[in-house]
Amino acid sequence: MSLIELTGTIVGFLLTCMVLSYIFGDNPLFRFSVHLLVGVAAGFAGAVTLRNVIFPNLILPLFKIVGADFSISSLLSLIPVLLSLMLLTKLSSRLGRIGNVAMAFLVGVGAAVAVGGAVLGTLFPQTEAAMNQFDLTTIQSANPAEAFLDLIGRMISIIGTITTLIYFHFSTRQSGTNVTRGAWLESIASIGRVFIAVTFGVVFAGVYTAALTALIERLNALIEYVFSIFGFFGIS
Amino acid sequence: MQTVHTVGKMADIRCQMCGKFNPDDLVECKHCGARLKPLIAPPLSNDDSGTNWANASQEDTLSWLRGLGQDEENQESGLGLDDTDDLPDWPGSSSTQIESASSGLDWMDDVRGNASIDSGALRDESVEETPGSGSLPSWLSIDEEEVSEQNPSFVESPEMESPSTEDDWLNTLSSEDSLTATVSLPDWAEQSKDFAPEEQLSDDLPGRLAPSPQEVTPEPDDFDDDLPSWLKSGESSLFEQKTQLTPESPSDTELDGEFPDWLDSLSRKTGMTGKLGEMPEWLDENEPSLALEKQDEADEEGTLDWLATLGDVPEEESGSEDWGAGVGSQSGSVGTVGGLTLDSEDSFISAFDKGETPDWLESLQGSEVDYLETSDTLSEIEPSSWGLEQTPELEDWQDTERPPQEPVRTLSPEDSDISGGLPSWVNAFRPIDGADIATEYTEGKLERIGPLAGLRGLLNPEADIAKTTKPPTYSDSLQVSSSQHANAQLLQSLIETESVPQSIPDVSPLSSQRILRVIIGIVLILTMVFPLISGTENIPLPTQPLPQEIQSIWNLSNSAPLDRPVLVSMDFDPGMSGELEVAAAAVFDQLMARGVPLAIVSTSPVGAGLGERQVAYLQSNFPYDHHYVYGEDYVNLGYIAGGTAGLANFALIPRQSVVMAYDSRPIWELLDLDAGNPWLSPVMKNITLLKDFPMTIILTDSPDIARNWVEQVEPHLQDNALTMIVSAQAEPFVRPYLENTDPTNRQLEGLLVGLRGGASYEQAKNSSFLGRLYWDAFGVGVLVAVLLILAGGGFNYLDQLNKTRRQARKSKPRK
Repeated sequence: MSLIELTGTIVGFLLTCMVLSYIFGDNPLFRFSVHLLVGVAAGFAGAVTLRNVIFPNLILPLFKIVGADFSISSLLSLIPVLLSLMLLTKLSSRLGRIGNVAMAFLVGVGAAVAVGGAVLGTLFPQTEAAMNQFDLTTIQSANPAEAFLDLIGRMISIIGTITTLIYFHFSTRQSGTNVTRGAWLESIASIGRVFIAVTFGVVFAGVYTAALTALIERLNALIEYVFSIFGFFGIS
Repeated sequence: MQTVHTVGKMADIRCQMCGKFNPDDLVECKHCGARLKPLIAPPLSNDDSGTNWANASQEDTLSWLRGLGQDEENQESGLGLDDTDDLPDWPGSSSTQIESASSGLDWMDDVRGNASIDSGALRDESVEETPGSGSLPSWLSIDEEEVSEQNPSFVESPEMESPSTEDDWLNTLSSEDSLTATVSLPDWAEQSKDFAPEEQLSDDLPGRLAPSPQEVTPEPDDFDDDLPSWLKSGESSLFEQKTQLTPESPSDTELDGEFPDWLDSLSRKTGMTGKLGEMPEWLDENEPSLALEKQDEADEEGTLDWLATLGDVPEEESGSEDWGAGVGSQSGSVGTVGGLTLDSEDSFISAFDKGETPDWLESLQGSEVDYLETSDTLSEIEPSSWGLEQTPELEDWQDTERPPQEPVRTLSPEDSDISGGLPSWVNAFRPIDGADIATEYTEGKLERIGPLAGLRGLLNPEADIAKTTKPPTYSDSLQVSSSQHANAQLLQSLIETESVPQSIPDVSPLSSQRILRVIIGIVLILTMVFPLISGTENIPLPTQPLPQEIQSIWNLSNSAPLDRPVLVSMDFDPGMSGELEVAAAAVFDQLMARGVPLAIVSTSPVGAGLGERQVAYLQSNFPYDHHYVYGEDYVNLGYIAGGTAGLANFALIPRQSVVMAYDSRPIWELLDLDAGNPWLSPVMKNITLLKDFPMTIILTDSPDIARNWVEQVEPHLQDNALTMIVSAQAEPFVRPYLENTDPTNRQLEGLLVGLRGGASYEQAKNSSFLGRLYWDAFGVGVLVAVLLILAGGGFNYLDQLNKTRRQARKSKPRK
């Protein structure tokens, strides 16, 4: 292990200990390590953006135009340059209105892409998958027990989907001061509430296991740091 | 300060402060305590006009004389101050407020204009400038213009025009008092020039110094040059007549060669030398002998009759005017002029005290009166409408032209009250007489007392406390219903709750919650560190066979062609690298062991770096048959900017979306775009669109990123199998894309979740990576978590059970 690697190891060890010090509550060591992480991440992201996005997509086309390359592709590259300059006017309260065009372009395109993708990529396929639960011909297991379990699973999936959707059905007919849903709808919604609770439990378990894995990785890193430091100084 | 009311036997004095009448003998108002009589001694001379205006003129006359005779210091420090202080309200304000006077008070502006000319300009400039005989001085010209601009409406009224064109008395005016009128006519008189547009002022003399025709024998040539046309019209007859009537001055020869005594003393004081023949014409015209003759005529007539008509004002009262006090000094009784105490030794005014007052100067006062009489004459152009009577004085000098007028009517006590001490000619201009009383209620209350009498809409001088009417009272209680009151109280309670500061509970470092957190953390760490240090493998890995979603990835990895790279998207944060790198290690190891090319991309700026780190980690820990070289075995496409839209663009046109690779080239080599274009590398030679990739692996910890890939990219993949290696926290949101009973409609081909999936993959691969190492620690951690949850749940259950029992005991009635 070189000295540079040792330095990096010590720094990593200290920063890890600073983060883990949060178990004793918020403290300056934890805040320092978090601020350092955020700053380094932001700086790294800015450098990557400048190198891989701005330079090849904005600066190089300008170099081409300066170099008398008036091809269509080069001229079309002026459009993002113009939109970027208009977006920079948002920094000024007086000229910020000019940047509204670029902002409208960004928001409009982003919304259209997101909505289109959600409808075509999630809503329709998931609706189709839910409907396929009723297709018993798709049960391919030859084992009757497995087929039965598959069928039970499909039923649970269907019940969970329907009851969860009913739970989020908040519309009701007002009769006097009573604004509650119907009894049958309320009972179905209560089943959906169970499915939602299970889902949140699964999500929480997933978050916990993910965090636990990250903690294990950090603890293993600390152990490796210690062994590395001891090994550097000849202590095995 | 006060107005005399002569109703009844005793003359009452109206207090100007409260407006109530007081007995004549009182010094202070018995109602308000204001002083009724001024402290300045009244004038003793019978020659005093008894009118304010006459006194003012006299004072002004003395002013320019003081300017000649006194030291400069006295002029600046004494006169000015005393003039201002001692002047009554209306002339005093004229000297100080004339510039800021309200333009709406036209008739008062005229009065102020007159006063300013008399008391201000003439006093100062008569000393500095030697008036000429043929031209007007500049200050007088300016004032003429200003005055002409401020012509009151009544001057332009047709009522004024008819007498000006019909009456002959103006001819008399031109013949008798022309010099006086043409020089020092006040504004209203200046405005009377409108009746004769060709009129011009012919002399620079100050008004009160201008001699009357009886006093001066003017040269006809001078009048030919200077007199206005309307005066010239009567010149041929009247002027000749008057010159015949005017006796030749006996002092003409005396004045030719030497000064009079008093002027000699004056010249010694001021240093002025010369002969009388060199004196300006204006001084020439102030011939004492003529003034004496005029004084004799006045003596014959006794006191001024027209002033006597104002006899409502007693002598002591007229003399009590502040600004008139200076006149009293002329009689020699008090050495004050205008309230200023003068040094009897230095000032030439002392000559007055010593009885050396020249007669002509005394007669000059008479001329002032004449001038004022002329003013009154002008004010009586239409006596019937203005309610003023023609005075006998007017009749005297109009006898030659007009028949005797009707007998003099003494001003009524009411008129004198309204006058407020103003001269009669000013009273004649007041709009009160022509005002409609009915308009009092529409245009404001009419002021009937004091110098502002006749004006409407003035501020009430009386305090509000003097008002007897009780102000109306209004109820301040709201008329609200009970429900509104309840709602208001509810809203008030909400607002009060918000405004009350909430005390933050002081968390002690030794609080039970913090201690419990530390204990849990320490227990969890210690239980997990031990398996990591010891390297135990007590907890078995997930049983085989692999789940279907992992098996799909296994199959795809094993069947991936070697001529086309596998697209790997590293879309996770560095904080989750501990989980995802372990989960993906076995998959990468399988691909790299086979020599499958890799194309790394990311929608996160740090993802490309994490991809490089993953490749470097695997190569450093596991020696493969071939070393992965950038550009030949793998390529890093870098960062896809734009989020969802950028990802959609990448799915459509990947070559235009990513044009620069994430490599370690220096920046000066980046200008060669082709050199950094990853699509030109040998790894990507067979790739044009995303469907050309045999397999796509998405490593992410975010459900949103996973959904974006599914929604935007998956429809364009076609034969490209989309698989995901996700964090455990994203699994519930990603798995629905995998779960589809129809395998052909699955949006995901394979899914590997977290450490469990990685460990299973390692086990299937029969390799030992970090998954196996972490698995025991992970198991211990999960076990500790389960135990803690059970312990916490049991504690809460017991605590709740305990509370329920306590409540049940409390609820039981004691026997």
